[in-house]
Amino acid sequence: MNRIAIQLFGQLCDIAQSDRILLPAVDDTEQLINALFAEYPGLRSATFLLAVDKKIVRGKQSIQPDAEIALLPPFSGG
Amino acid sequence: MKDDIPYTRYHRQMILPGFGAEAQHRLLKASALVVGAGGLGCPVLVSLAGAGLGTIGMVDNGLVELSNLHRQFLYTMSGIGMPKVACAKNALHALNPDITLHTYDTTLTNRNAIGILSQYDIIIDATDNFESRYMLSDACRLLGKPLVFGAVSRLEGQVAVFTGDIGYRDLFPVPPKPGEVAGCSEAGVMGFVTGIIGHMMAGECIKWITGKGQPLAGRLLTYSAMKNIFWETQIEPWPQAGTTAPVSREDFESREYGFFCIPAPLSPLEILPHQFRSLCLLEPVMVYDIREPDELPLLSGLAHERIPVSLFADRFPPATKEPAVFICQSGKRSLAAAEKYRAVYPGHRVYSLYGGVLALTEGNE
Repeated sequence: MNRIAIQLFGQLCDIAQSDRILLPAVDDTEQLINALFAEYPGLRSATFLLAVDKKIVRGKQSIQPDAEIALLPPFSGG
Repeated sequence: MKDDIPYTRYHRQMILPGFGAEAQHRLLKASALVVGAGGLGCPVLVSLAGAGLGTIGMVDNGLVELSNLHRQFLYTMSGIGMPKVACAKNALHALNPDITLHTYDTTLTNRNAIGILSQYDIIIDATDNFESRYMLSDACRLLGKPLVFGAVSRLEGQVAVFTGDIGYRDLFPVPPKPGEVAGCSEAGVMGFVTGIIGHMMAGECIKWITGKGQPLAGRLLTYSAMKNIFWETQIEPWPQAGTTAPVSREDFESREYGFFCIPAPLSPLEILPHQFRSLCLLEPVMVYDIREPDELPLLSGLAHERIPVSLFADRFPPATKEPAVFICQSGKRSLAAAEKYRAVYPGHRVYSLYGGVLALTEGNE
């Protein structure tokens, strides 16, 4: 089965217990978010940006099989 | 022009290809305000002072503590208990007596920010809390000042340069909920990470002033020290960001950024008006106005369903995949409704709008 890799940062890694997760391949960002929330319910209440191929995606957008995907949370520390 | 440059001091950077006397002159004529003299502020300050940035302001109301010394390398044991900005000024003056240093031993808030920020060419956000980060981004957007942003979380960091129409709200239009994202004192941090991020911030400042290279304008760089990952993302202006940002100095200075009062403790089911607006921007939401039919003002400009409290048991809302948000006049009855909803559908996301319709309409004006 084709899989898609997602890079996590910050406290999102605590929720997923990993900084890099694999999910079954998806067609678009809506499917991706649904799959993420189903697999890691803790992400539902977390604040993060979805970045696909170096761009922030806020709506529904198709995802290519080789897309580079990351979830970027806000950092406050200094 | 060349005569006022101490050549020996800056020789190694002036011989860099493309840098030279002109870039050094620009640095010496420039002014930067560094907000926060902690883990990020220390490397920013030492790097800018060393490079000969002519006028540096620093804002921090903190005192040097023993727990600072593992990463805030401007300070020493003898400074413990002393104001940070005074110690930093002494250390930077010892490093480079040719530059001008201004200190502000205070907390920068939306009440004093405009006056202080206006005096500088570029602003550096080396703070450690979201209140300051949103306040600084809003202030710089209003003033048209470039803002170098940097933040850390444990062994990771972020850097960006906000100019023109792009600010922190184009990334995150409203702050995360209190307690959602831990700061350094709870989550931990190491000096080499604040050092890397802080020196990158200084580098962005120097690039912007000298016009050399490609600053991270409109780009967010996220860095993981443990895996040496640099993840760059473009930041597009986000039209909705403007709906949460202040539109004037008066608006800015009357905002509640969280510096002056501690909000009443919220129930886990309660959502603040700005968080509610953000939620509506991000995804579909099922909104239930549970006031009785004669209660005013009407909830306008927001798709919702009316289920009066008196009929609530008979018309109990179904479970939906969208989060449910209950709204009443002041937020009390809606909290009770949200608690009932949670009891019936334990796994579902449900909120009560804190402050109710009154808080929502107040925030819109």
